[in-house]
This record gives sequence, C-alpha cells and structure tokens, in this order.
Amino acid sequence: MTRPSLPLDLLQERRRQRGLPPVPARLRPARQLLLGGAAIGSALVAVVLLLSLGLAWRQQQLAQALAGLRGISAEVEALEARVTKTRRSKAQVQRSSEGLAKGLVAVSSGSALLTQLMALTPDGVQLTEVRAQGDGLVLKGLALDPQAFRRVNSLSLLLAQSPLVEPRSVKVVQLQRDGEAGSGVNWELSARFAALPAPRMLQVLQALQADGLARRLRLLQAAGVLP
Amino acid sequence: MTNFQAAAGPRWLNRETVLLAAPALLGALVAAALTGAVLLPRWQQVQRDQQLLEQLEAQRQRLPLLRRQLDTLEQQRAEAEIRNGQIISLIAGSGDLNTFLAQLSQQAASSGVQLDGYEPIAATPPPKGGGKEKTPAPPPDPLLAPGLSKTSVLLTARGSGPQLLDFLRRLERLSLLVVQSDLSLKAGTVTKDKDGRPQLEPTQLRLNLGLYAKDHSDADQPGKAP
Repeated sequence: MTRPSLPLDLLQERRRQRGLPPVPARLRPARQLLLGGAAIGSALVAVVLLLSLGLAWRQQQLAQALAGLRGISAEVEALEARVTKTRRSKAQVQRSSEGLAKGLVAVSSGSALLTQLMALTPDGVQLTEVRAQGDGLVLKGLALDPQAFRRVNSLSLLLAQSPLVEPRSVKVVQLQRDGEAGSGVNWELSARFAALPAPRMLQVLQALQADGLARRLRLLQAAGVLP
Repeated sequence: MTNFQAAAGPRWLNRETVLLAAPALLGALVAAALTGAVLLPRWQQVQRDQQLLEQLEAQRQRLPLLRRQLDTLEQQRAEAEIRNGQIISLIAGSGDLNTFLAQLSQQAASSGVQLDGYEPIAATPPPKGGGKEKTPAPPPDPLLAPGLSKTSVLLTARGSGPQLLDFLRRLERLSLLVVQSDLSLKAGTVTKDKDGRPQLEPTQLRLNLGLYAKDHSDADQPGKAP
C-alpha cells in the first residue's frame, strides 16, 4: 500500500517553532505588482500630459486673442506720439500768443503820456523838454515866480499820482534860477514808468484817449488773451 | 537569506513595495522630466501671453480715450492758432509798410505837423529756428513773431503841443501797429520877428517808430508759431 504523496515543506517545523501559521501566506504575483506600479506611474505621466495639453489649448487661445490685438500697441504709440506733439505745439502757440499779448500791452503810448502831462502841469509851469527812454522819463521846464519852487513841488506830487509812473520814482533832479528874481526857475524831474497790469493799462489808455492802443487791447481782451 | 531570518532593512522595504514602487517611480521620473521639459516652459509662456493680453486689452480700452484727447487737443490748438493769428493781425495790421510814408504824410498834414526827418535805422531779421550764435543776442523783441519783420525809423517833426498830440494819436490809430519809443519833445525857443514881436518856435518831436509787417519772403508760414 502506497502513502499519498504530500508536498514537501521543509520549513513547516520551523514555522511551528516560531509560532507562525503552518501554511505561509501566498505571495502576490510579481506581474500584478509590476502592473500596479506601472499604472501609478502611467497615471502620473498622464496627468502631466493632460496638463500640458490643457496649457497648449490655452496657449492657442491666447495666441488667437493676441493676433486680434496685434496692431493695438502700434496704434496706441502713434496716438500717444500725436497727443504729445499736439500738446507741445498747442503750448508753443499759447506761449507765443501770451508773449505777443504782453508785448502789445507793454507798447508805450506817446499820446497818453502827452495827454497826461498836459493835464497835470499846473499853472505857471512850462514844459520845455520831455524825454522818454526805456522805462525812464525826464521832464525839464520853467516854473514862473511867484512860488516857483512850490509850483515844481506841485508838479512832482501830481506826477507821482499819475498811473503812468511809479509814485516813488518821481525825483526832483534840479532846480536852478538862472537870472534875476522873477525870471523863473529851471527845473528837472525824473521818474520811471509804471508796469501796469493789462486791465488797468486798458483803463488808463481809455481815460487818456489813446484810443488806437486801447482798441488793440480791447481786441486782445475779446480774444481772451489779455494777460 | 530566507523569510525566517530577522529583517535586516526597514520593514516597509519588501518585495511588494519594490515591485510596486519601481514602475511607479519610473513613471514619476518620466512625469517630472516632462514637467521640466514641456509643462513648465509652456506654463511660463502662457503666463507671459496672459500678461501681454492684459496689457493689450488695457491699451485697447485706452484707444477711445486717446482719440478723444487728441481731438480735444487739436481743437484747442486750432483755437490757439486762430487767437495767435488775431494777435499777429493786431501787430501787423492790414496796412502796407510800403505805403507807410504816404500814411505818415497824410496824418501829419491832417494834424498840422511838419515832418522834418524820416530815417530808417535797421531792419531786424525775423528769428530763425535752428541758428545758434555764439555772440550774446540782444533781448528779443516780444512783438517780433515768426513771419513778421520789423522796421525801425527815427522820425523828427515839429508842431505845437496839441498838433503833436493829435499826430501821435493818429499814428496809434493806424492799422499798422506803430510802436513808439525814445520819445523826445523839445519846446521851441521864443524868437523875435522882423517887427520885434516875440514868436514861439514850434516844439520839436523826435521819436523812434517800430513798424511790424508780415514778412512776404516767409509766405509759406504766414504768422504761424514754431
């Protein structure tokens, strides 16, 4: 009689000694494990590829959008350049206008000066010389007696009240009696012209009937460029 | 070594872990390589494109504003040029410099003034843009706009005070702007005539006149500011 053949298990005794189960746990097949690992690795690669595809799609979208806006930068730059150029040009024209308007306001009126001198020269005082050079004014004349000195003093005070001259600039340069008493006194006054603001200058010119220059200032005023 | 021997390495490092992790690690390495080589540069490019798109969108939104700004500025410049032209017209007037002598003579006759002298001093050339001179230039004439030329004249005349005043007023009323400077008036002395009667000589007027006219040699830029 033959005994049934049992699978040879040489480590069975040792397992028993160590308190381990008599039959060892079955090992998972290597193929299965490798496939599992490969699946994980492939999933990682797939995620990266998917992200890359998504980015490529987004990149394409952006490229299309950028192509639609290709000329914008150049157009904006051109417009900005034109804006800058126009602004500069406008400022130049305005500066030129302001300079010309100031120049016009500063034009001296000989007729206004003469009218003013005729109006303020008191009785007994003669003007023999008027010299206006730059912003300086020199007046010479003869004051009659009696009270010749007082008459010159009146003239200097009246001149100081004139809007055409700086009040503090009026100076008596000289008073000289040449001949005998009663022959009069030669006098000399100096003053400096006042720099009047344009609206005041317009008033003064109108008051002194210098209507030629006043008309020009009124036109400047109407054009809105009177400084 | 058998599976009965005490484990020499860490407990997690066994057959299953190695077999599972090896291909997974390989996949991770490939994924990392792809990330570095493809994903990251593409992502950076997308970021740059996105930024550029935002800038261009912002610029596109600015376009209407810029166009409106340009329109307004051009309108303002045109208005400023019109005003500038008006001022230049006030300076140059509509009178002709060539007929100024006739106008002067007419005004003198109307006011009873006798003209004694008319002496052109020097014509100041209009300012040129590019020229740089080393010598210090005299202070610029504020009225000498580009496109205008100036003529200076020394005028001498004589008449009574009221006559000279009327003459000066008439000069100022001329369409051509007559800028007066260095005015000098000298009263005449008293002389005696043949019969011995005292006679007052007329007052002498000495005056510099500045005359401005449109410079026709520069007719292609009539009165335009630089």
